[in-house]
Amino acid sequence: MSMKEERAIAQKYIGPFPWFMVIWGLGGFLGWVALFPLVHLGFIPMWLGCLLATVILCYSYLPSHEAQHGNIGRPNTRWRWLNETIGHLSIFPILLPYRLHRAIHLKHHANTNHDERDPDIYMRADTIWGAMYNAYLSKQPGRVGGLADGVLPDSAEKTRLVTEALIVTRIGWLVMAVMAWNGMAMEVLLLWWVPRQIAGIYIPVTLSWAPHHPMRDQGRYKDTRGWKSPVGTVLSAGMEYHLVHHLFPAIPLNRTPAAYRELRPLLEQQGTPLDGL
Amino acid sequence: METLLTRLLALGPVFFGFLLFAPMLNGVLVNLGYTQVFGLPSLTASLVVGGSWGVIALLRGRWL
Repeated sequence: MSMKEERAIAQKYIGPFPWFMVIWGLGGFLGWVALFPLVHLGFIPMWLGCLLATVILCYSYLPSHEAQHGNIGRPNTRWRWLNETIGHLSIFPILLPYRLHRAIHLKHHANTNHDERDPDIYMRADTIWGAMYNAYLSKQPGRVGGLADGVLPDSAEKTRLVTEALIVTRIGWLVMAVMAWNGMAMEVLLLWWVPRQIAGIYIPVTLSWAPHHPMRDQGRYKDTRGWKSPVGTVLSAGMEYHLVHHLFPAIPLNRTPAAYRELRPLLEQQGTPLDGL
Repeated sequence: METLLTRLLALGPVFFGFLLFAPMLNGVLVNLGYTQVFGLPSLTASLVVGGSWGVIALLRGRWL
């Protein structure tokens, strides 16, 4: 199968407005915000709020991920404002600064599995337990993460993005502190802080470690694998088909399984690791 | 100004300990019925624990 044929297949899955991601992104954020008054006023119990918040935050990265690739609205098009709004809002609960993270994430695509230039290489581990430990370590004081030397070159743009990121994340921490000192400490703890800690492990393990494991090979057909998740497609955030995303980032997440089935002969031909998928 | 900001940012764990961990710990203690801990009001005890943990995390570079 030639590259032209490959692109022709991919093109079938690119294009329609991704309502699914828009509803997911806005609905997730607004639903999470609504949990605070609902729990505080006793409409739903704290344990249920904590469970829902954890689910929302674990899945909050994915709509923003679509926005990072401009899949909701490309630059200078009608829906760009919505793309950027969803990009910012959906990952605000996990305190990820959208625009800096987008710049770093695009470096992951350009340099997947590179020892110095892939910002996600810190997740390399032999086992899922090692990956979870690496995710934990990445959140410790003084860790620079995607701002490591060799990822983003120094520039005025980088300075601007870092400044914006500092403002966005400090606003998040400030909101948490103000709420915690004003009678909502338990809500902050169980609807925000604890779910964010869990999401902070789940997201890098599921999105970075699992689809790129063992994170050694580079190249279009080798740097991302297909894999059969023991917990199913939904609980693994659709990452069984992440290789399709690396081939064609413009294909929305919910359409990657169908695209994969059609691209599979090509991937087999190229020797892509598919691990039973 | 930039140096001052950089130094303040480096103190993040201490701010976290006092400004966020302390009220969350206090919330847990009060919910469990401990309004006093070793003779101290729960909020004071939470500030001592939160602040100390923040300083230790800053020095060790690890929360645990």
